[in-house]
Amino acid sequence: MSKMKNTFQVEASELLKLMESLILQLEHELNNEELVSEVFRGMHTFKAISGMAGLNAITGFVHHLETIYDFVRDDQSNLTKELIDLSLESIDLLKILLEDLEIKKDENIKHKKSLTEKIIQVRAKIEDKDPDIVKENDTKEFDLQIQESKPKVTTHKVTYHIFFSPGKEVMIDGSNPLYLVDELSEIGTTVAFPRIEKVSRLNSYNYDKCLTSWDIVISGNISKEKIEETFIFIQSESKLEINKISDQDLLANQKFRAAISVFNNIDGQPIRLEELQSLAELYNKEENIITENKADSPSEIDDIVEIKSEKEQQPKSTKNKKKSESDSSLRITTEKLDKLMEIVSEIVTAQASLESVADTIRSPELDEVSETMEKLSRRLKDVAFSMTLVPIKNMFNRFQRMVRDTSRELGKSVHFISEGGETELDKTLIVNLKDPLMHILRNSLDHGLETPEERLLANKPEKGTIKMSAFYQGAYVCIKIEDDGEGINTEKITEKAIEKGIITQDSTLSKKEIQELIFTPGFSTASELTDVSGRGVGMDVVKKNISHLRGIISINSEMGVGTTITIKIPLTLSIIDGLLVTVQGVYYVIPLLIIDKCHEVPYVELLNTFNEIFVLDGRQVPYINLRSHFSSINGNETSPPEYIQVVTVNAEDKLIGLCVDSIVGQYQAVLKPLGETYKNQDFISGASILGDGTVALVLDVNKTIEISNKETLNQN
Amino acid sequence: METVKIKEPEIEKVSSYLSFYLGDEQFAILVSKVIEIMEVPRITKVPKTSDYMVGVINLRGSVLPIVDINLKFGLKPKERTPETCIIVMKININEEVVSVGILADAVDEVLNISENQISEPPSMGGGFNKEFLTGMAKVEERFLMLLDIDGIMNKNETELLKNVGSITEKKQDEDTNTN
Repeated sequence: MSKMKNTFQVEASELLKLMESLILQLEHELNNEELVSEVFRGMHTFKAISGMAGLNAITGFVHHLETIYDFVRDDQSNLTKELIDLSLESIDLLKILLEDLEIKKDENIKHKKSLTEKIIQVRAKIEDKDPDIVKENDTKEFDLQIQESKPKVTTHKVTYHIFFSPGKEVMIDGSNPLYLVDELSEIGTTVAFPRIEKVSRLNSYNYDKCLTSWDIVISGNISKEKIEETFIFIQSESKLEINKISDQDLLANQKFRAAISVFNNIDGQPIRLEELQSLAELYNKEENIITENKADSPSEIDDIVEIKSEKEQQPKSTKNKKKSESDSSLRITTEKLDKLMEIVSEIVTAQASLESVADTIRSPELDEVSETMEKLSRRLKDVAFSMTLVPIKNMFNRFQRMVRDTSRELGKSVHFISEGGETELDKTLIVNLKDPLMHILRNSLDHGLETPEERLLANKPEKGTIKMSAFYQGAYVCIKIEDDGEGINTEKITEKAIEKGIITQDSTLSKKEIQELIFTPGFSTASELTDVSGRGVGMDVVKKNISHLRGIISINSEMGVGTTITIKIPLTLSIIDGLLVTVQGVYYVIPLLIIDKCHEVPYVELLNTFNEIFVLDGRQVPYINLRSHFSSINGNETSPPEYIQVVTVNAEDKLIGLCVDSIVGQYQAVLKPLGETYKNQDFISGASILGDGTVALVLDVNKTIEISNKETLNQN
Repeated sequence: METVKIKEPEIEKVSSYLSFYLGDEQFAILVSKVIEIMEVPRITKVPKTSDYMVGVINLRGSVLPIVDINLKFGLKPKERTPETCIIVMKININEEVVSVGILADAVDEVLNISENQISEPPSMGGGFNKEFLTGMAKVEERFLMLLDIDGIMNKNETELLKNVGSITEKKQDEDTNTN
């Protein structure tokens, strides 16, 4: 059971996310029928999975919502802002309830209760009914649907009609008539229609009395005796009528099902037997034809079941378009995926040793096999890796909601645009990016954007715009957050920084440097603290988090025009394509994606340069001589080669040359951690094992450059 | 025989130790800490690390850091001989168990040492820092130094660098790098 609940939690939280984004979209497009249908379907699925996990309290709650959206589908004008707010609130509650499935916490019980009241009010308004009646009908209707959701596949034998009206006192001795109806579905396909016309209003409702009766149509390999057996323990007070209506399995005939669904009128009278029998006769003939044409295949029946439920619950019978989509995806646990990645990386390593063996043996046959293996393992790696990536879209959707709520809170009007949602990132990266991005957005909303009045004064559209976009840039993914707010007031910042002792009165800083000050710990310009942001622990933490992901954050702001914050994070992969080079006999891997070109330069030229810059392809390129940069303390250097290789790399928009002794070739490196003992060597992002078993070190080029710059500064 | 019988009820703790040589000195560590003993493969030196951090090796697909305790103790590193080997052991660094290999000039034997054979480490002698020892064991007529390997690896970097700095001047000509 707990496993089932876990599955439920996973599926449900995804479904909630989806519904949230749909509803947010709906808020802007109140007339979009397609969206309403999708929301409805989402709720319907949610109800189904919660029912399956046996979470009746949740199922019941969602049912109310679903019903409302069912009405909205019939009449779009029912869709109000109020309803959208309510839906979002409900989704929030459901998210909380996912952690409290049985609804045991007091606050959750209260919350749910008050929300249910609200929903019922809305529903009553839409249905034009008394809320109490709505509430009443609802629970019953909901029970009915639960039963109907589990009909059994049958052979086509006979069809019976059963009218069952249990005695009023039936529940006192603990028996539950619902279980009986349920039991019936064990022996044949059943369609049950509850009749609750006798049920009183809620204020005079007596929980101990059973006032509901059922009309049940059952078909399958059954007999009257068998049905009677089911009801054997029911008191004599109960009314039970069993009549055979057909010698065929009418319930397997979808037309018949559709026809009898007219009886699905909750307040209606019991089915009159004559009516049902005449219907049965009508379809008896048709059934004959059908059975001739199609041998009753189980799949056929399954289809019918599917259609049936749609007929009943979606009167518009919009075919579920999403279905094929969800069918083509598979839920896999991350452990399995990690295992797969582990094996893939071992295959890549093994392939590398195969290649080196093939190189030494020099047999054409072996070469061929090795080459094929190389191609295959590369493809395998690509496929496996792409599986660990998730589009950034999901996260963007979450922000949409946050922006909406926060802007309301702040009394600002914002248009939030997200672009490049299809950009894919490693899942762990996305998780770690969420908080920093959230904070940046909050800052933009709170400090960046002006109030509508201020905006009008500044000759800007009343509604502010925040644009969040993601795109690939070489080996990086860039995420840009742009707002058209007031921008950063450099004077204010300078003042503040001096006041806080971050800079001194006489320090001269460029505009960019001043803007960067907002990333200094303990800096906050908002004169008054607000709930949303401005606690002064913001941007420095953001910067720290981003650099933990080996990313870079930069800011560009124009007074009165807006602010753009750009985050660049590397696609940290467990396998990277790199260039294998040697420096003083040690193998290093330079990530291929940032490499621009390789040049051969005489070593003498290195000695004749100033400021470590030389000219390549007509451009001045600063360089880092890895030989001296990595020289060990004891200084035992091998003599330099006559020609050194310069690998130019794009690091932070600049071209920088890395001087190495020799270039071995392209290499797929499986990143392995260097471990705790080397945690201070952060310019090495990991190690990789070469085909011959030697360990190569994978360079973090940005960190290497950073360290080299620091060292040069210290020397000067 | 009689004395043994009398001693038994005292529940004397006897542990197995692996003895090995660093230079001419004999050391021992608890066998329970040792994972395996292996030949010295090609070692990749990680740049910008202290000298005693000899580098990393490939241990069946994972990366294993190698430490030269000779250098750590400020002794002269020995020439690698066929006898030289790596003792792979579990150590605790910042409450995490990690595998580390230490270079040993020769591995001797596994022997049982009872608690009463172990005495406090001497406060002087041998140029060894006494904080890296858990004690001295007298086995037959020899003295074994019991290494506190966890303690060695947990000394903070500045302290280590101090040590290393003073040694390096003496050992500039020595090749600690296998390459």
